[in-house]
Amino acid sequence: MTSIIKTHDLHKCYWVGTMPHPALHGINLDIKQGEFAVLAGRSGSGKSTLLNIIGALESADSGSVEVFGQNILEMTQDQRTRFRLHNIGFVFQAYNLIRVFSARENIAYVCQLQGKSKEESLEIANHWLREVEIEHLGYRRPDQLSGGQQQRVAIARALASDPKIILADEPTANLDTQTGRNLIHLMQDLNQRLGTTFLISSHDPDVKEAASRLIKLADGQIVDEWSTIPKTPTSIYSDCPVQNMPFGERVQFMIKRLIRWRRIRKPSKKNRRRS
Amino acid sequence: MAESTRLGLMTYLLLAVRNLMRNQRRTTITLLTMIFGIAVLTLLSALNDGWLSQMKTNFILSYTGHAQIHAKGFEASQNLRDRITDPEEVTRLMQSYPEILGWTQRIRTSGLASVGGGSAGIQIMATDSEQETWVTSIHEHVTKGTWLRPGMSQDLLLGATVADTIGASLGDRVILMAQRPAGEMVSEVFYLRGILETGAPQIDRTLALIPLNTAQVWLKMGQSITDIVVRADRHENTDLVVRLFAQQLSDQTYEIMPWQELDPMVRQWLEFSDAYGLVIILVVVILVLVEILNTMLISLHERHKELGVIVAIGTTRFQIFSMLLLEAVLLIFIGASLGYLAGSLLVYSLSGSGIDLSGYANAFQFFYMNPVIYPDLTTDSAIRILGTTLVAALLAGVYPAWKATRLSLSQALRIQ
Repeated sequence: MTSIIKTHDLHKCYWVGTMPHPALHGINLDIKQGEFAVLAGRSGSGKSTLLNIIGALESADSGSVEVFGQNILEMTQDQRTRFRLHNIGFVFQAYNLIRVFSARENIAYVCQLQGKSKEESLEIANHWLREVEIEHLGYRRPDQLSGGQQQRVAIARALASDPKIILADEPTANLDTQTGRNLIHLMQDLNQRLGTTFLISSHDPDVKEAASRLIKLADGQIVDEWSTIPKTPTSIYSDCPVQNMPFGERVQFMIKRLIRWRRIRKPSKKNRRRS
Repeated sequence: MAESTRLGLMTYLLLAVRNLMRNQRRTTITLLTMIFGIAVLTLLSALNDGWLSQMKTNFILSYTGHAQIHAKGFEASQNLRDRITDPEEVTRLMQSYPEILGWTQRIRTSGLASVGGGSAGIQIMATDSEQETWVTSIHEHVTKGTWLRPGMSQDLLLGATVADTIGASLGDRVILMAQRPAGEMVSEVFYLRGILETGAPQIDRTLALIPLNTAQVWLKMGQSITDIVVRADRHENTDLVVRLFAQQLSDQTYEIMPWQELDPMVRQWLEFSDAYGLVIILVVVILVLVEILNTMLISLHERHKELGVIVAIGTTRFQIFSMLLLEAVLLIFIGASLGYLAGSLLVYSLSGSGIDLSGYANAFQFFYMNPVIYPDLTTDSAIRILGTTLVAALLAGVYPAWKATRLSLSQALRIQ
C-alpha cells in the first residue's frame, strides 16, 4: 500500500509564559492509503497536536510532514487552506457545524468552496446525507439535530470535498455508547467501501478495537504500535466467546456472522433503514 | 498550485444575513441606534442647509446680488472717482448669458442725512426703481410708505433705524449731503416716502435709497455709475457668471466680485456653518462607528471557534475578511437607509411649517436669518451623509474582519 502521510522526527513544544510544555517529541509515522488508523493515548499525550499538524492546522517546531508527497510545513497559510480543502476532511469532537446553515448547506458549503455551482453542491450534499442515512434531516439546522446526527453531518461534510484522508479528533467523545458505536460502524463502512483513509485520535475503547492500526502515544512519543488486516464492521460487536462453543454451534455462529457481515458491507435499502 | 477556493456573492450575502439574524435582539438594538443617529443627522443637516440657504438667499437678494461689477479699486476706496463711465459696455454682455436673470445699476456713496435737528451718517444708494426689483427683493422690505415711484425724482427711502435716529417720518423733508467725484460737498432735499426693514442691522442702520437719475444729476456723474449688480438664475451659477465676465472685461478697468467677497463676515459665517455641519456628521458617524465596531467585535468573539472551523475546512483568510466586512457593510447599509428614510420623512413633515425660532429672532437677524427655519435636504447632504456612513461602515468592518484573519486555528478549535 502507498504511504500517504509521513512524518519525520516531528517536534512541537507549547510555551505558557516562559514554561515549555513539550507536546511532540520525535514522531516518525507512516500512514498507508486505506488504513483505519487510531491514535490512542491519555489526555495531553499529543494526539490532537499530531492530528492538527498533519491536517495543516498547526505548525511544528522541527521535522517534516509529507502528505501526498508535499511537505505541508513549507506551505503558506493560504496554500495550506487550499490543500486542506482538496485533500483532507475533518471531523471534530464537538461536531463544529456552521450554526447558521442547515445540514445540507453545511455539506454543500465545502463543495461551493471548491468552485462547484450551488445546484451541484446541493446535489452532492443530498448524496452524502443519503450515505450517512439522515437524508430526511437535511433542512434542519445543527441545533435541531442530536449529537449523533450532527456528527453524521460532520462526516458527510468531511467526505463531500472528496478527500483522500479524513482526520477525526475524538469523534465519539460527545456521544453515548450506542451512538458512538453506530458512528464507528459508519466510518469503517466508508473506509472499506470508498477506500478513504481515516486517521482518528481517540481514547474510546470501541474506536481502538475497530482500528486496523493502533498507534499509542505517551508524552509526545509513539510508545506502542500494532496493525492487523482491516477488521470487518462487525468486529466491534465481537464480544461472544466463540472459542468456548461446541464445534457445531461455532460453525453455525460463524455462518450467521458472515451473512450479517455481508449485509452490513453492502446493505439493502430495507436493511439500511432497519439499522 | 492550481487548486482554488471560490465562493459566490450570494453565499457571502446568505452568510452575512444569517449571521446578523443569529442574535436578533443585538442586531435590532444596533439598527435602532443607527436609525436614530442617522435620522437625527439627516434632520440636523437639513436644518443647517435650510438656514444656510435662507441666509445666502436673504443676503444675496436683499442687497448684494450674486455678483457686482465695479470700476477697478472702487470696493476698497468707496470713492466716486473710481466709477464706471461706460456702463453700456458691460450691460451689452448681459443679453448673451442665459444664466443671468437680471441686473441693475447703482451709485453708492457715503453721506449725511438730516431732518430738523437730527442727523446721521448714511450709505446713499441710488438705483433704478424698476430694474432693482429684478435683482433684489429690497422693495419687499418696505414696511411703511411706498417703494421708489417712477418719475418721482425726489423720493427717498430710509432704513428703519436711521429714520428713527434722525427722527424722520413719512412725508418729511430730508436733506442729504454727499461729495461729488470732483470733491465738492453738495446737498439736496428729498421727501421720505418709505421706511425699509430688511432685518439686517447694518442695512437698516445706514441705508438711504434715492432714484438713480436724480443722483447722476445731483452728483454730476453724467451716465456714470459705481455698481452693476447681477442676479444669476441659481446660486450655484455665481462662479460661472463671474468667470464669464472676467473673460470679457479687462481686469485693468473692472473688478468683478462674487457675493462671498462683498461681505467677508457673511462668507466666514457660511464657512463656519459648513464646518459646524461637518462636525455634527463626524460626531454622529463616530458614534455609529463605535456602535458597529462593538457589535462586530462581540459577534467575532462569539464566533471565534466557528470561524476557526470555517478556515479549517477550506475557507481562505481573504474570504473570511470579505464575509465579516460584508456583514458590517450590510448592517450599516440597512441602518443608514432606514435612518435616512426616517430623517427624510421628518424633514418632509417639517418642510411645510418649518421650525419657528422667532423667540430668538434678534440673535439671528444679524446673520440674515428668518425667524422660521425650513429644513432643506440637498443632494449634497444626502451624498455627504450616506458617503460618510459608508466610509464609517468600511472602517468599522475592516478591523474585526482583519482580526478574524489573524485567528490562531489551533486555539480557535480548542475552544469548548
